Amino acid sequence: MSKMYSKSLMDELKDSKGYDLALLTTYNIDIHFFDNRIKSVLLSNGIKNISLFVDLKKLNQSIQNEKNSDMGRQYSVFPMDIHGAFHPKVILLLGKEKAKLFVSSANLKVSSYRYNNEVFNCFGYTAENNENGEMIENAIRFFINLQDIAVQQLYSDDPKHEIKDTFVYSYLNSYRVNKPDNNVNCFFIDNSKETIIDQVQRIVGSKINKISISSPFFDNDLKAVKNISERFGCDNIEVYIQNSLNRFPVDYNRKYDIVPQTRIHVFNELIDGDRYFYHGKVIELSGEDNDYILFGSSNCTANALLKTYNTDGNIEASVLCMGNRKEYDYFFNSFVLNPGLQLESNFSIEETEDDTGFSFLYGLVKNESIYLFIRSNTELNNLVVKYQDKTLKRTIDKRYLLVELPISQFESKNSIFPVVLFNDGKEYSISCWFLDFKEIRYFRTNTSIDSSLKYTYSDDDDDRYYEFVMSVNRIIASKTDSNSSWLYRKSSASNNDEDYAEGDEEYEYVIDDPMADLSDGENEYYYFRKGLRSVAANYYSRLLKIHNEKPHEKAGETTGENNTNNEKKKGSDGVGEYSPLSGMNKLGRYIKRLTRNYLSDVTSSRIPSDVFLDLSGLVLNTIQREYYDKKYRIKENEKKTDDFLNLNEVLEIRHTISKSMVDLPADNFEDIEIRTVISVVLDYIAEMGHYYQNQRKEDPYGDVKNILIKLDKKFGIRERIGELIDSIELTVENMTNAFGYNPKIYVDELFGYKTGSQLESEFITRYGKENVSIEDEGKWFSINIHVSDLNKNKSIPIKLITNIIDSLYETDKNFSRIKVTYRNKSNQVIEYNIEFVKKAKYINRVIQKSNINGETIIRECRRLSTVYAPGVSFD
Amino acid sequence: MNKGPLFNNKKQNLSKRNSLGIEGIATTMSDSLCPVITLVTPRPFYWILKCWCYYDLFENSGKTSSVNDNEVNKYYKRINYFLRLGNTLAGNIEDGGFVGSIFVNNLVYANPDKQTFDYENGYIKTMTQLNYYNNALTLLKLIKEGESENGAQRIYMYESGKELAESFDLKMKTTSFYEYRFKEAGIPREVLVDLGKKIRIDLSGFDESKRIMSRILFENKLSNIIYKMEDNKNYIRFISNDSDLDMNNEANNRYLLFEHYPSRGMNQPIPNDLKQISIGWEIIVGRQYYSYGLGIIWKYLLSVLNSPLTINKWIGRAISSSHFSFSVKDKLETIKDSFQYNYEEYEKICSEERRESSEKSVENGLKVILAMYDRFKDRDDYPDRYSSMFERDVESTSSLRLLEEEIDKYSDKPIEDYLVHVMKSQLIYQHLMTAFNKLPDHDGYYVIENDGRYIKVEDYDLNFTGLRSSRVYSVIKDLGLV
Repeated sequence: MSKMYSKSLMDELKDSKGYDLALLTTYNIDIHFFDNRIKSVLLSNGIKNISLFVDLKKLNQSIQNEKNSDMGRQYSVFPMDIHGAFHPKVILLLGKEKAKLFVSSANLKVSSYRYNNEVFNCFGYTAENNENGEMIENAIRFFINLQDIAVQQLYSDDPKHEIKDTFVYSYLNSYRVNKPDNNVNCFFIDNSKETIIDQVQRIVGSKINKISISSPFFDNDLKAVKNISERFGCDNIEVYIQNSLNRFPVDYNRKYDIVPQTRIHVFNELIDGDRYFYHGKVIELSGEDNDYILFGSSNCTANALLKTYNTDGNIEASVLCMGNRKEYDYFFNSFVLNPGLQLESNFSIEETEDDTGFSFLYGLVKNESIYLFIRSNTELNNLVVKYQDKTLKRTIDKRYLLVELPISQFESKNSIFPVVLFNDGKEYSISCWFLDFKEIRYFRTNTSIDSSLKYTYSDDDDDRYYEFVMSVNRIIASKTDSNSSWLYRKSSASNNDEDYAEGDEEYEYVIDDPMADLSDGENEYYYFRKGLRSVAANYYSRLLKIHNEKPHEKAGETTGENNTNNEKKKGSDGVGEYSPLSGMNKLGRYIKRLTRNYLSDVTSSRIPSDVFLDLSGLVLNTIQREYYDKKYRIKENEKKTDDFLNLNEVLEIRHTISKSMVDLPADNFEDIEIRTVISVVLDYIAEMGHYYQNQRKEDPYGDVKNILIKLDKKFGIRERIGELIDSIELTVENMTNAFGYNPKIYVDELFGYKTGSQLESEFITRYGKENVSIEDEGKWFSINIHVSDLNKNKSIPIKLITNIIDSLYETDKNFSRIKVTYRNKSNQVIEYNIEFVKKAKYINRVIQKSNINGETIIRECRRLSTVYAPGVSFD
Repeated sequence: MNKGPLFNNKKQNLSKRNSLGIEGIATTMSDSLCPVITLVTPRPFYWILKCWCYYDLFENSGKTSSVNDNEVNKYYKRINYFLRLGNTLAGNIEDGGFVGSIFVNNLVYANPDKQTFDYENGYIKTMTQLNYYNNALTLLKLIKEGESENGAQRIYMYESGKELAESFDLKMKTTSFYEYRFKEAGIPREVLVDLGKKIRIDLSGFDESKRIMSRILFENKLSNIIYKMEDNKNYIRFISNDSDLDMNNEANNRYLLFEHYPSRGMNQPIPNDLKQISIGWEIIVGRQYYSYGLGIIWKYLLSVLNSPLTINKWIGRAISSSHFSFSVKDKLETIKDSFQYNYEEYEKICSEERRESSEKSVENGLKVILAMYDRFKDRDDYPDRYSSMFERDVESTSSLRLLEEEIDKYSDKPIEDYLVHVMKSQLIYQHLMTAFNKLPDHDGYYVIENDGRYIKVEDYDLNFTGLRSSRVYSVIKDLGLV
C-alpha cells in the first residue's frame, strides 16, 4: 500500500525548469551525493547559479573522506558557524517571475532522499499564480539574512577577506514578488529573528483543543512540549514516535508525566509497511474552527522552537499551514500504531569530535593565493603549516590562523585537499576547500554550460560512467569479438568489409536494452553481449560532444592558420569564453585513469589483446584532435587553456599505449591487427622525433628506441620501415611538409642497425654488385669483395664493419667473427678475421692474412678498439 | 493542491547483493582465470542450440546474410519451450537442465490427456537465464554482432558456428518435430515425446557436436583468452579423475583447489604442466576465504547495530561484545602467524558463521583473514601471470596484496587497532561507497547514516561466491571429456 499523501522530492526537483538561481540549506550533507545527484539535476535543468548553506561542523565532517568535489568552484558554499545547529532544509528556486520553494525535513544526504521517511512540500509561484507569493518573499528574506549571518559570524574584519556571493546577494535584493491580495493560509517561518513558536502563536491565536506531535527528537526535559502546552492552554497532547529510532526522554517523562503514556503513540512502520527511519518533524494544532500544521526542520526541542540563533538556538525553517478541521488528520493516520508497545529510545548521543585544537573555517581565492582560515583553540608553538611538503606562510590573528597557499603550488583538480599542521611536536591533518568566485562566475556565465552539462551531469551519464567502469572491470582479461574492434573499423577503409555501414566510425551507438542491474553478478555477461566498444563509445561520444560544443577561445584569439578546428570550436554565438569545465576535466581524468589502469605495460598483460586494442582505439580516437592540435602548437608555441589534456599528458598516454602494444602477445594476430599496432606505434615514435627536434629535449621516457626495437622484433619492420612510415599518412604529411622534419630519417637512425640486405646494398653501392658476396656461414659472417687493386683496400672498411656489428648485435645469432676477404683477379688475397664482442660491440682481435707475395703472412692485432672509432686502420 | 505535509516518495529499488563490492571483483578475477564458462552457463547444449537457431533462421527464413537478435531470441525461446515440453512428456522430468520446468511440468500435470500443444510465450518471464549463454558465442567466434537497427542487433555467423549448427541440425532432422518447428499450429504429443527422447540437454547422442564444441572450447588456442581454457579443462579433468569427490559440490571444489593440491596445502602430486593453473585456482579460492572472513565480521557488525549508533560506538560495541582467545590489546604480530588454514576447521567456522553470528565471530573472521595472510605472504612460487590477480582490486580495500601490506603495517600495533581499521575502512566505508555507486537505479545500503548515527536497514547473509571450477566440470562432463 502506498502512502496516501506522498510525492517524490527528487522528481519535484527534476521537474523544476526555467529557474536562474538555486539556494539550498542543510544541516548534514553528503558532498558526494550533492555534487553527483542534486547539483546534477539542477544543472540539467539549466540552473547554473547555485549557492549552498551548510552547518560548519557538519560540512567539515563531510569533506573528511571526500576526494573529488567541485564545491567552491562551481557553486558557492557558506559554512554556517553558529552556536546552535544550522538546521534548516530549504531549497528555493528563483527565476524570472517564477519561483519554487521546498521546505522539508530532508538533509542533502543519501539517507534523506533514498531511505528515510522525510516530510516536505513545495510551493510554486508565478506572477499570475501568486498565492504563495508571501512565502517566497519571506524565504528570500531568510536567505538574505543567512548571507548576513554568514558574513558576520565567520569572517575576517578585513573586507578583502569577506566572502559574499555578490550575484546571489544582488539577485535576492532586487527580486520583486507579486504578493497576493487575499488572505494567505500558508506561512514560511524561520527563527533567524523571532522564535518559531512565537510566530506560530501569533498566526494561530485562537484556542487550541489538541496538539499532535510527531518528531524523532525532543529535548531532554521536554521544554518544548511543556512550552507549547502552556502557551496554547492545552494539555491534550498526542505524541507519535517511531520506536527505538528516536530521542525521547522516556525516563524524564515517566517521572514528571509530561505526556501521559496513553498519549504516546508508538509505531514501527508506516501504512505502506515502510520501516525506515521517520525523520519528519510535524506539529498539528487543532482549534475550534481550523487546524494548523507546522512542518519542516524544527524538531520538538527548545533549541528549534523556543529560541532564535541569537539566543543560542538553532536556525530552523518550517511551514505553517492553516486548514479546515481534520484536514491534516491524514498525516497522523499514516503511522501504524502499536498500542501497548513500551517506547524505547535508543538514539545514541552524538559524539563530540576529538578536539584537535584546529577547525577549518573556509578558504578564499584572492589574487594569486588561496587564503585558508583556520580556527585555533590551542596554544601555538612553532607552528608549521604544510601543503604537499611545501611550507606555507601563515599569520596568526586573534580569531583565526590565516594560511596562504600560492595558486601556483596548488596541484589538485579536486576542491578538497589536506594541509598538515605541525604544532608543539604534534601533527594534524585538516581537510580544506576554498571559494573561488572568479571561477564560479565563469561557470555561471559560460553560455554553453547548460547544454553541455546535460551530457556530463545527468543521472543517466553518471550511471553510464559507472557502468563503463564496471564493464571494463568485468571484461578485463576476457575477450570480445576482435572483428568488431575500433581498430578494425578504422583500418577497414581499404579492406572492403561489407559488414560495416557508412558512418560506423562516428560512434553513434545506441544501447537500446534496459540497463542491467550492475550489482547483480548474474548479469556479468551483459557487457560481453553489448560489447565494451558500444558502452565505451557511447560514453565517449557524449563526453566528446561537450568538447565539440564548448567555445574554446575568445573571439579574436584564434589559434593560427594551421588549426582547422577553430570554427568548430567556437560557441554557437561565435564568442564564448573559456571556462575550465569540470566536464572536460572529468574527461581528461577519465582518459588518464583508463590508460593508467588498463593500458599500461604493467596492466596490459591482464587484458586480452583485442580488448586492449579496442580500448586503445577509443582512447586514441578521443585524444586525436587534442593530439594533432598540440602537434601544430609545438611549432606555434601556442598555449591553450581549455584542453582536457596538456601536451605532456597526451604524449604520456601515447607512450603508455605504444609501450604496451609492443608487448602484446601477437602470435594469433590477424593482419589487420598487426598493421594497426605497427601504425599506432610508428606514428607515436615519429611524433616523438618531432617533439625532440622542436623541444630539443631528450627522450623523457628513455625507451622510444626500445619500443621501436620490440616492434621490429615482433613484426620485422626494419626493411620496410620507409614504406611503413609513408603509410602513416598524417604523420609524414604533417611532419615533413609543415615542419621540415623527416620522420623516416629519424626512425631509420633510431634503429641503430641495418638488416642484412640493407648492409648488402651498402657494400654493393661501394664495390658494385658483381664484386660483393655476403654469406652467413653459421658462426662466421663472411664478406668477399673483388677489387682491382689490393693496395687500395688494405684497411678494414670500418664503417661497414661497424654497421655489421651493430646489426648483429640486434640478432639472436651468436656471431663473434666477421671475415672480410679482398681478392683481386690474380687471386691475391687480403683477409681480415675480425673477432668482436657482440654484447659490448667492440673489436677484440683482428687477424690479417695475406698471400700477396706468394707467401702467407699472418699478423695479429690485439688492439682493442670500439667500432665507433671509424677510420682506425689495422694495417 | 495539498499544501500540508507530504511524505517523500522514494521509489526504492533494493539491491542487496554485493554489499561490499567484493563479488564484482571475484567475477573479474574468475574471468581472467577461466573465461567463457561462468557460474550461470554450465550446459554446453545451449551454445550449440543457439547456434542452430541462428543457422536455422539463416538457412530457412530467407535471411541468408544476417538476422537480428529479436528474431533469433523469439525462435530460441520457442524451441527451448518445446524441448522442455518434449523432455517432460518423454519422462525426463528429473532432468532439470531445460529452462522453464516449473511452468511446463505444471502444464503437463494439469492436462494429462492433452494431445496437442501450442506455444506458450509466457512460460518464462524473461530470457535472462538463456541469454547468459550468448556471450560465449561471440567470445568463441561462433557468431558476430553487427550494428543495431531499430533496437535490434544484426547478427552474423562464423564458419565454426555453422559447423556446430550443422552437426546439431543433422540430429534435429531425425525428429518429427523438425517439420513443425516453424508452424504456428498445435504440435501433437507424440511429436514432442519423440523430440524429448532424441534431444537431451546432456548431449547424449550428439557425438559430432560434442567433438566440435570441445575443439572450439579447448583446442582453439584463442589468442586473447589469456588463461587457456585448455588448462582449466585439463586441471579439472585431472582433479575429477584423481579424487573421488563430487566436483558439483562447491565445498569439495574448495577442498581440492585450495587444500588438496596446492603446494602450501597438502601438496598432492599433480602433473608439472598443471602447476600454474593450480596456483591460479588457489588464488581464487584464497580470495574467497578472505572475503568470507571479512563477511563474517561484517555480518557481526550489522548484528550488533540494533539501535542507532555513531560509528565509533558501533565499532566499539562490536569489539567489546566479542570474546577473544587473546587480548586485543596485544600487538598484532603476536598472533599474525598463528593461524594456519585447515580445511575442516575453517569450513566449520564458515558454516557456523553462516548460520548465526556470535561473540566469537570477530575472532573467527580475523582467523580466516590471518590464515589467508599466512597462505599468501611472501609467495615466490606463483607465476608472474597470476601476480596481477593479487592486485586485481587494488583500488578497493580488499586485495590479497593489500592484506599482506596492512597486516605488516599493523604488526606492531594492538590487534584492536587492526580490527577497528578493518571495520571502519574495509567494511563500513567500503560498503557505503559500494552502495553509493549503485545509485540512483538501485538502493543497496545495509546501513544508513543520519545525524552521525548509523541505522541498520538490512542484515547480511554470508555466502561464498560461486566457483567456476564446478561449472567447468559440468561442461566437460556434458562434452564427454570426463
